Amino acid sequence: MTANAESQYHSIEIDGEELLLLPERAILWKRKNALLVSDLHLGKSGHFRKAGIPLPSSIHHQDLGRLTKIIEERSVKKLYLLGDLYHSTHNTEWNHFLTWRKKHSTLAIHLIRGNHDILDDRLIIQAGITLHPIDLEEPPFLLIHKSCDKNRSLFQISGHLHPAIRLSGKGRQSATFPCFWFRKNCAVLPAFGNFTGNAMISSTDSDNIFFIAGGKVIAFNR
Amino acid sequence: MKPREQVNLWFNSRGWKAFPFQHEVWDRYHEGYSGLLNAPTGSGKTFALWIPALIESIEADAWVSKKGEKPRGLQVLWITPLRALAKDIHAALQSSAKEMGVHWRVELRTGDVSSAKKKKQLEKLPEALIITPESLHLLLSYGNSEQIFGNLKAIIVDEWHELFGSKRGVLVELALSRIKNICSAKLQSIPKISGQAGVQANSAVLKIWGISATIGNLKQSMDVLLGNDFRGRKTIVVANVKKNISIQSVIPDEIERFPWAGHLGTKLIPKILPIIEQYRSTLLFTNTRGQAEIWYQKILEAAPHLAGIMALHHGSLSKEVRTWVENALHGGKLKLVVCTSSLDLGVDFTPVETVIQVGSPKGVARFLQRAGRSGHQPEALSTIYFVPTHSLELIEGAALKEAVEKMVLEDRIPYLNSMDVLVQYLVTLATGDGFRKEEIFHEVRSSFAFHDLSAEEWEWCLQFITTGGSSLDQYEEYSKVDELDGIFKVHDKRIALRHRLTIGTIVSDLSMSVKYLSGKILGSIEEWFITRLKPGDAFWFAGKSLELVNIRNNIAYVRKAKGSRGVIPSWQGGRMPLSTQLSAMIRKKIDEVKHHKEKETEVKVLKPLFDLQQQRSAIPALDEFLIEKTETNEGYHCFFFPFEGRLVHEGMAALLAHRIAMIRPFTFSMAMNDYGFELLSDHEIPLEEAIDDGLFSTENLYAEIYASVNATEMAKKKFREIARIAGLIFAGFPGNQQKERHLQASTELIFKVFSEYDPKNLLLKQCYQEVMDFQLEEHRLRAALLRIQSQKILIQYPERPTPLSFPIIVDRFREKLSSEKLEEQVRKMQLSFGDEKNTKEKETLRTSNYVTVLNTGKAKIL
Repeated sequence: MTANAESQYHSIEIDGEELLLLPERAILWKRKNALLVSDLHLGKSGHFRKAGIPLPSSIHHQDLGRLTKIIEERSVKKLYLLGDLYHSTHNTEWNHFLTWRKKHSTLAIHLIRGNHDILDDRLIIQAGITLHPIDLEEPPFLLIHKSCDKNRSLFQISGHLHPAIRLSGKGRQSATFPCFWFRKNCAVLPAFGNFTGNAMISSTDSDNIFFIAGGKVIAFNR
Repeated sequence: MKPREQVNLWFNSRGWKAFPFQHEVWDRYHEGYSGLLNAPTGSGKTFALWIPALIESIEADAWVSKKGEKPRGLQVLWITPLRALAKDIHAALQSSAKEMGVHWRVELRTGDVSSAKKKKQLEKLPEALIITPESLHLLLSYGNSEQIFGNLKAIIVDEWHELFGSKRGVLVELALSRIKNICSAKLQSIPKISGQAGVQANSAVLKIWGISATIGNLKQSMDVLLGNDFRGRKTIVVANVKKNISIQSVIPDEIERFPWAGHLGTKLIPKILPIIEQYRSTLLFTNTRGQAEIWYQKILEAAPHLAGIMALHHGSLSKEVRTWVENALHGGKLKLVVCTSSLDLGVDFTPVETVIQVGSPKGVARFLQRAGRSGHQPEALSTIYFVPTHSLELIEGAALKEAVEKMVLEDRIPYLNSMDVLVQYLVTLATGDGFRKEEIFHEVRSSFAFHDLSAEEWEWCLQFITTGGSSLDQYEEYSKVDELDGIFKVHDKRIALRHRLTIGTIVSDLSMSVKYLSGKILGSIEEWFITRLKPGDAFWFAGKSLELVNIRNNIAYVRKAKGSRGVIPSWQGGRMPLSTQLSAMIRKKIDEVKHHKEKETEVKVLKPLFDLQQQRSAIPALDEFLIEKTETNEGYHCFFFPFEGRLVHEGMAALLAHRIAMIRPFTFSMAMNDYGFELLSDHEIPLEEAIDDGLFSTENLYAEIYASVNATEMAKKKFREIARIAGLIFAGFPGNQQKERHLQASTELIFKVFSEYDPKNLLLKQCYQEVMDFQLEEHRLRAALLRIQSQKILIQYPERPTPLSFPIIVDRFREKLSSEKLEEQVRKMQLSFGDEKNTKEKETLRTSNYVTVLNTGKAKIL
């Protein structure tokens, strides 16, 4: 495991594969030029608007903009979405996503279904996305939405939790940071979407935590 | 028989005689006046306003009389802040009407009434309705308002002082603005009867009366209730029902020269037990729920025979537990109830003979209110005992005595331009009858709360509820209120249903239920406290030692712990600052000490403490402002003593630190209590230079407060309430939370989204304004600075901490140490600061340095 001094990301090696933990809240699988992203929750603001809570759709434009930037800068060929791509039922924000998709038509996209992905399967398939209802084996990894299954032998990478840690400092101040959470046989990604909440994790000593603060990925030292 | 005679007969039949103030209200009401009745609880205030409404009905019996005749619609609306009070009032109104032969239906409409019954009520309206502000708004959301309220003759707002100065008060103001307009429109449509015009007009015109305990700004509270457009006749009637109040302080045998907050109280229990024994029933008030738990436990330890006849009552206990305690108290079955502000208000506890206040009540009005909980009949003597939690607090006993004697009471500050409440109200109207823009704008501006609402702000509200925001493409598919043919209305049934569930302004804490494994609910506890405990840990709650079993679905499951052990939970918030009035009185008492004119025993016994203060530093006179500059192993200290309450001190400390750091970069740690605050640095503080540079200036104050405190962090916390009131947060339908799961977002997240994408959102603006007004008390801070500018600045250089600075130092340690360690630490400090030469001193200070380092060290995971 090496920290990269010049760059903002953090490099980590698992079963011979190099993974870059990016401050944009995604993992780059180097050898495959593949990007792992979880919990975008697109369409969430629209869902709220329909219920009478006025939140602007620009929240999601920003998320897609961030995704575009990584894909272009890192020449990403393949995108793995670890669930919760879309927050709820269909609304007009799906059209924004389709527009984005057309601009990146050569990109292969795989979605492992998350608990929020209740959108009609046909819509997902029409968008040129390969849907995996439960999980996806990409040795040496198993890509999955919800947390770890101890009985599987592959190293699991998941989302769902929206992990974060709270750090406290001087003068009773504390702040919350989204984080990557690496445990014995699995890793959890932070939520990629901006308009998503966080869940404070309770970690043990053997866990490795990398939190994102000030545009950097920082290894947490106990 | 004339109606008045009928009333007198009824009074006689009960062995009562009407008080002069009751006659006065009856006369004024009859003449068509609206106004305010200033009367304490238990003085007969209810009949002062109920009787004239009945008289009016009897007089008009030419066209309304016997049972079974044509319904006359709603005549009297009785608004009460508490459901518990509503039941008592209902009983009193109903029986008296019946006994006087007025066939009125008097009904309740609160959260406790079943929806079937409420529905029936609307089909055939009762003549009098007792309602809470929330239920009144709910009623508006069902529409048909003209028919429901059009015949009203009187609106009585009971305990108006409890609502005035809160957002619930704004709810009342808004509802009244609507009802007044409905009634005056109706009145204009009725042709006047010639000859009898005067009588007809008085009885037909809507009369609005508030009933209020004494507060500093009674006149304003009446004006706010009646609204800015009120053109009728108005008056204040003061009930001169003499309440005899006897205040007695419990004085410790030995006066500590180095007082520190919180610990002395329970040491005085041996002196308190005889008081409890002496009376039939006692209420013991503490300022926090945590303190109530401690006192309950300590009293039980000292007097085990009280088990079974004493109880605990605070806002975090389950409704079931609280109701049980209230009923037992009412029935005279309890000798002692340890309670918090949860029993400030509420039903009449006649058996209560005395009240004990532990620690500073922080305000004169609150103290009086508590005193009034005993001797709950007219002309009965109310006794209240004041128990200081540290020796210096005795001075507050003296200050309270003088303030009560001179009736120097606090003002309640009414809310202005609460956009969250306005947004909620507009959706409420849109859910009901729908509204026309011009009409409601005019009405809303007629209320005090929104009298300077600008046209732009109004347009913003309409936009917020119709399109969501200014850029349409960003808010597509927004659905809430639609404008159709000039009428703003909610058409979506789900939106309407959801809105009705969010009506109201009371926002509860983020808390977790505490439940026995068997399923019985004990109450609720704040999340941050319980999540720090591990299964198996014990804690005190509801007066019991409980063991945490596990936490599931946001419920903490517990069982009785073995033995008597556990930590005491604390609840955040609720730490009231010292009021302006009490602060001023304390400064006056200290001035009396300075000039050797002390009157009260409470102050006289503090002589050893003040002697030491004078010897080491100085006692500030009224025209002096004391600053102490001291150097210890910890660093360079500056203590300032404005005596303005914790909140003002918090803001002032940050402001002064900011201003000093403008001279040279500095890092400070700060500590404060209600009397003063401390700035501590590892470099000498250029105090004199800073004072010359305008340290206490009010210039640029607003901007510099913003620069010095973490206003964003404070606003983020405050936003929770605003978001909830404005309908941005939806907790889900009762018992059906799962379905609405996709609509859940934290208020912090919404705060973040608004700050980034919609910074001009008026709810954000309101949020920062509320932080300034209520959290930092900017107006008080400004007034305090102006006062300091006019005072002589008295800088002292004591070699050691003084009796005034000592409690502030202890407060700084308190944040970091468990109570046992703190006690030990303080004992050592008292020893070392007391004697001029003490070898232990070095060791003590070293320990304290160690503690500081430990707690400001590395970031650690929670």
